[in-house]
Parts: sequence; structure tokens; C-alpha cells
Amino acid sequence: MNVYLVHKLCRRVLHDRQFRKLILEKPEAAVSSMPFSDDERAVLLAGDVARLHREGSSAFLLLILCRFEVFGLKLPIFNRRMRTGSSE
Amino acid sequence: MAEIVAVYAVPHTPSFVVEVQLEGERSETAQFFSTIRSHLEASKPDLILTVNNDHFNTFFFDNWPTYAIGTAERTAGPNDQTPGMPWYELTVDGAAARHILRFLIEDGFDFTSSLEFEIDHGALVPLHFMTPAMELPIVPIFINCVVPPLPSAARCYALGRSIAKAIQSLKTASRVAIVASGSLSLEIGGPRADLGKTFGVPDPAWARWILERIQSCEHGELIEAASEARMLEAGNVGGELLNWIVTLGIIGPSAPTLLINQPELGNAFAAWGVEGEGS
Repeated sequence: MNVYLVHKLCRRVLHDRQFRKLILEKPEAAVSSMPFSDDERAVLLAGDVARLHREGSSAFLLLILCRFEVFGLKLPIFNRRMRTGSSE
Repeated sequence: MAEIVAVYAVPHTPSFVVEVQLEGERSETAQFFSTIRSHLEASKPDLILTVNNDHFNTFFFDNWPTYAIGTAERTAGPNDQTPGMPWYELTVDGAAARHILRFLIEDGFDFTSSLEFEIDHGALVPLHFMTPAMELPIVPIFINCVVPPLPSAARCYALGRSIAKAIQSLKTASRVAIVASGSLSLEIGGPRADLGKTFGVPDPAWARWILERIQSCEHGELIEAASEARMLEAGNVGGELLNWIVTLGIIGPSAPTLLINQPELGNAFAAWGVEGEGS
């Protein structure tokens, strides 16, 4: 898992308004604009924050995805996945 | 020669801004910060040195400093879109910052410095409540509290001692207040967040124990206990205790004149008046 790239994506959601607009409207296009592997892209698009965190991503930065509800990560979903460690 | 006229350690919880806007004076946070603000105003500083951690906004993993100081003439923020907070433009006392930087380097602390930077809620939430007119120049110091490996508690305490000496040797400001901030036990977004919330307080007993050590000036015991592993047991931003420990180094073995616990949030508010000032 390219954790640094995941962190860069989270930071761009907060700091890059155009990228935020793109990722909310066309998440696949936004994720594909960064050099993620196929597996990383799938994990991101599924909003599997539990796995991202398990593999080293910062919960603090992942919370940015929840703040803007990227990948459908409304707070109850984000919170449940982080607390249980599952993708459900 | 400059003097340290007051020292503060407070939270920088970003949601405080909206909370106080919604609840007004009924808000516990508004009341606590009002008390701290009165103390600061009575201390009549002409410079504020801030001690806090960045949250991946001013710095990022491509260039992450353990210790940094802002030496520009101006800064602004919040650069993390802190909800409800206006955009602030602040004066940095660049001359004082450069003097402190040189002093700290000569004293063995290999600081990073930045001539172009903005600041996030870590520095601005306290200033928003304590000096909302932003009329005082600041010198911002950043401590790495969130990206392991963290600096040791002993090193941070020694840094505080050095900062105190650097301030006392300043020629460009006469009355300096320290405004440090951070939580004592806090998990942001992680598995130990409370059900349905963005945060949790995993270890309120640890936070209480810290405040007891501060109240009784048992700084050595606190430094010994505050390993990286122990701080992170108290939450993924539990390392923010290091901002408090720098502050304890600055003030030395002196009990706070004011200590307010906010255990449900893993926070506390502390104030020290120096030589009878502001207390």
C-alpha cells in the first residue's frame, strides 16, 4: 500500500478545491489521476478506510474523506468501519 | 531584556469555534477561554510565542520537521478551513523569531525555519478566543506531536528551558506571553473514536494523572512516564502532551495559578502568571 500517496489524496481533498470537486463528482477519474495500483484504487473507491488504516494510513488524514463525504463516507459509515475494522 | 509575563497551555479543538457561536456565553468553552483571556489581558504582553503542532496543513510528509519556527514577517490562517473561523492575517515578529532561532541552534536544537507559511487551527483556535483582534505579533513554534518518531519528552522539556533563555535575551520585545496548545488524551477519527463521533478520549485517567503532576510540579515523573508509546496509548494525537511539556520547561517548577480540567474532551486550560503578573 502506497500510504504516502493515500495521504496526498486526503490532503488534496482538503486543500485543492478543484480536486475536491472532481472526487465528489467523478471519484474514479480523481483516483485515476494519481498513480495508484489497481488494488489501491479499488480500496479507495470502496471507502474501505479500515483497511487503509490497518495498512498504515493516518486516521487523522482519512477523516478528511469523511468530512467531505468522499467515497460515500458519511460519519456513521466511516465511524463504524474504523471502530470495527471491517469494510461493512 | 525581555521577560515572560504569562504562560498558557490550552486546547485547540477546532469545533470550539462553532460551538461558541451556537451556544454563546452558555458554552463551557466560552467561559474557560474568557477566564484565560482576562488573565492574558492583565498580563499586558507585547509579543506572543505560540507552541503547538501542525496537522499536515503547514507541513506535510514530503518535508516534516521535528521542530520548526516561523521567521517570516506575516502569516495567515486557518489554512485548514476551521469551521466558523474567519480568515486572519497576523504579524510575525521576524526579528524576534530569527533571534530565537539562532539562540536555539547555538544551544543545540537543530530547528527548521520557514519564511513562507500559513497556520492551522493548532495555533489559531487559542488566539481566536484569547486575542481575537490579532493585534499582537506572534512567533510561531511547531513541535512534531503526531508523526512518529516523536521527539522525547525530556528533549521537549529541555527545549522549553532553552526557549525561556532565548526570550530573556531578546532585545526587540519586552513582555512575552507563551500560548501553547494541545490535548492530553484524544483520538481523532481512529478506532477509539466514540460511537457516531469523530473523536474519543481513550484515557481520561492518564489526562487526570498528567494534571496532578503539573499541579504538584512533579515534572520529572511526568517526563519519565511520557514515552511515545504511552502518549499514543492515550490517543492518536496524545503526543500533543509534548506541547505542554515544552511549556513546563519554559515555566520551570511552578504550579499553575489557574488549572481547569475538561475531562470529557481530554483537555485542560492552565495559566501561569510570572512574578505576580496577571495572576
